[in-house]
Amino acid sequence: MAVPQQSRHNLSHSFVVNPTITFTTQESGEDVLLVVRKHPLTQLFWIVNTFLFTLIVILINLFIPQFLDANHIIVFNFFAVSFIVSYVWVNFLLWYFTVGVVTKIRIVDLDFYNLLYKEFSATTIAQVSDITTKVGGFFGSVFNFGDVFVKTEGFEQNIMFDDIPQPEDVVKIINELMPKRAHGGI
Amino acid sequence: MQLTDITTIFTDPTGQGFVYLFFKAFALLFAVSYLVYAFVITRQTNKMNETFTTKNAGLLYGISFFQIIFGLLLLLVSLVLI
Repeated sequence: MAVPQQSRHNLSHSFVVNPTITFTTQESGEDVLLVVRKHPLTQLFWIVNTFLFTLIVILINLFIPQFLDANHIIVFNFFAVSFIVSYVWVNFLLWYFTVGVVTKIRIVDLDFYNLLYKEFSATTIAQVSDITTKVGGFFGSVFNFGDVFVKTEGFEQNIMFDDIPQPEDVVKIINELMPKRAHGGI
Repeated sequence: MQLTDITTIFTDPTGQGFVYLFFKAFALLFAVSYLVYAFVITRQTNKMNETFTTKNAGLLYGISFFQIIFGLLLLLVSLVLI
């Protein structure tokens, strides 16, 4: 698979080729070739939780009219909605901004573990010594997502993209870039 | 809340007064906490956008900022409606 020229993405935007994005520490002329996020199926737990919370709120609404008046019920529902919306929003933001980026020069891994803690790791394509892909489990095999582990020479930074879609394509794109760097051209 | 209302809380045989007092205290606490959370998330969204900028950056910041307005609304509702 040659490095794609046209911009394209899958339905969930978890595999975006030639995206229009910029990131911190990006150098001038450093074109971004690929952005990957975790496969949407790995986010199923908080989506299911959201439905459960909503269901609980609906059930509570069936019972609280016996104990509270109209104003209190309205306020309770305001708070329930705010809780559910914020839960969804935080999880969405963590998914959206936890990305792996492949540029013509570097591979960047940006992890947001929670709202207050982030990890930014990067390595140059020239430093990459080995790329391993791991697709496992029922869902990983059926929906084609897995991990890509990028090893670098010596004690340099190793980079891991967790649960990303089409891991083989990511490896192919990085592999395609490696000889170009080795021969001095980009 | 009038003084007579406060005495009603203690004399109400159904205990409804205590429930409402607890509800208001909890609502105010939650509203203030939500407002603080909304400020934090708006600031963090801004930082995330700076770290990794997409064409949706404005929309993401807008939705986070909306939560501050929603937090203020919650505070208002907690103070006035109950």
